[in-house]
Amino acid sequence: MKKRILVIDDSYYMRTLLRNILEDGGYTVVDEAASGESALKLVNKTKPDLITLDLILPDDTGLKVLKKIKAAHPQIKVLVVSAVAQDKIVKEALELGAINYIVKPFEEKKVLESVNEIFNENKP
Amino acid sequence: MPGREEYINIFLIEALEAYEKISSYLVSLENSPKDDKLLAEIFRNLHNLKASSSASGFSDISGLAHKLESIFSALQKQEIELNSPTMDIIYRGFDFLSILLNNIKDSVKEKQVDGALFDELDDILKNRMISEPWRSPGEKESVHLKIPLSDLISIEVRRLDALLNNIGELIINRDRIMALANKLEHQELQDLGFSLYKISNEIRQNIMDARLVNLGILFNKFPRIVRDMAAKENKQVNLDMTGLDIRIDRNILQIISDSMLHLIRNTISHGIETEIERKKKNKPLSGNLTITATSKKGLVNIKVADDGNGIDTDKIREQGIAAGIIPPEKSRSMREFEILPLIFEPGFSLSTITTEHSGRGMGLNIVKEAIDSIGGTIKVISKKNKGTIFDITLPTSITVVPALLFKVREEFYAIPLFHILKVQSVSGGKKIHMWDDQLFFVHRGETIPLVILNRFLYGESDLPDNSGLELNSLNIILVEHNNRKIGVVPDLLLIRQNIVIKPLKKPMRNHKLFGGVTILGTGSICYLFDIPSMLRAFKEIYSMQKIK
Repeated sequence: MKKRILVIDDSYYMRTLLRNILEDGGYTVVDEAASGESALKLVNKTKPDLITLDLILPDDTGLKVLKKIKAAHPQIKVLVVSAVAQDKIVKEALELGAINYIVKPFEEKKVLESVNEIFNENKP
Repeated sequence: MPGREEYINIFLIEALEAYEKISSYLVSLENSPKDDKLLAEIFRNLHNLKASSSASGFSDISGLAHKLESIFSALQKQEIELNSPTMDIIYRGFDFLSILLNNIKDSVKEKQVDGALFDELDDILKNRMISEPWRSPGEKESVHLKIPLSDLISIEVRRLDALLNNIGELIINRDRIMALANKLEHQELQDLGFSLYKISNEIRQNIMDARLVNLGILFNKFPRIVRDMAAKENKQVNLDMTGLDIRIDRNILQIISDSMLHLIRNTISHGIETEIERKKKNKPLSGNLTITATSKKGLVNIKVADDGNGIDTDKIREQGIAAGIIPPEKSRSMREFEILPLIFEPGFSLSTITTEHSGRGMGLNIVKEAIDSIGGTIKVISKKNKGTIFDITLPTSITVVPALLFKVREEFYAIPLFHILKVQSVSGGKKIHMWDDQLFFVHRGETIPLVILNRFLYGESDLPDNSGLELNSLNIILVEHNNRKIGVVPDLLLIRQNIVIKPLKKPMRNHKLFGGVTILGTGSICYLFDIPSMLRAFKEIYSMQKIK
């Protein structure tokens, strides 16, 4: 079965880009969220295998959203995709349970590689 | 296959939206420079802009967005202070951003650089206390996009115009088929006609919906404009706007954009007083400009209101007499509501008034013409020292209007319902008077001139014997425009109908009386009266007669 991914980013451009990359790579993008609040609702509703998470959202910081997701659904993997590249923030995100961290702007290849890598660990 | 262009379109739509949003936030920020929410919103929008411009390959934009983002990050952390010189540089930064975005939109290829601006932006940051880059160097990667499908496209307005034109033709032919089916009493053809009717209406509706845009795309430009104009005039102006999400045809918005600008400029330079004057009048020092949009029954209403000094009707009266627009003997009896609309008159030069602080109105006839041209109306209400309201009503969509059809001799004509106050049958002749060879009709105590179309259109030689028109039994279509009323008398009233207006073609294009033409279901041509022009023409003819 195709792995199901939820894309969280407040930019329509970025969401479209990520959706296209992921769908072309053989994944199912179950939904998109543009704010922290709708993201949490959609996580509960769609129970995705993976979430791509932007760190700057209109209503909440991505790190707080990450914390909340991990608290409610520790099994869901979260890949941070953000233009914030400060070491401090990257470190904090990984400590909070993010499985990896991609800095925008990214290479398409890099996103797919990273996602493939995350899922391959669980494949036979 | 869609490709990079698609992405650029998505990028542009989002980037221009972000730019408009930030522009209006910036004005609010000046009043509350420490507002965390505003700072965070501006930062977030810049942050997205940086990422998406970089991903789309616009390194000049992402470079600028990065600098601005850093400034707003520093502002959020209170590492630097937002003073007026800083604000000016920030504004210049956003002006340049707008140039860069518009260059993409207009496919301008040359690169534009403003080194001085970049230095000044850098200088702002040099003064901050802690320095921390947002992105580590070496992360700059340009993305080579594959060719993915997007669910958003942008389309040139002229393509939608062409589609609407096509559907107009289709509907005209549909109506002819339906008329034919009814005439032949052919059941199958009637059914087919009905299903054609439903489908074509749906297509038309869909096309018209696709043309609608938010008023916000125009209105979001106003905060910045108001700020700049007020600064130039040395005045304090608060701008308050509502109804930005109301949708309207994009072409209509384009046509009224200059008019809106004109009204705003007039309000700020002539309507709202200086602080000293306001203080004398016990008004709050800061003037208020309120733009309210509402929509109802396919019409959009926009009110531009200020609490300034209002329009001095005495001055208009003087000017009107001097310019020969108001007959001196009438001037005393003319009431304010009759005087005020004169500011929209063409050739009514208010230049001497506008140079004085109390007046306004230069070029308002141009505003009015623009609004008239799309079947809208503009009214003005004003109270001395209280303020002025310009009340504009616009159709949501163009090209399809409800109209009243009637016949004069063997020809079909129509008047948009928009201009019709009421239709009244008058019999017995009690209410009709002849004076100076002109017929008048008394409606609620008001004496309204009548235009007998048969005479008006075809000359008066053979009236009214062969027209079937009897003066003691008339159907009067009462039309109003610019607070001026006339009663229009056709030979025969027909029905109310939604008509697709087609522009007049040569050699009729310059015909002043008609605003367009439509083809009825029967194949007959029907001319649509342009009421403002008709009133003007009537006025000319009438004054000519009086001279004789």
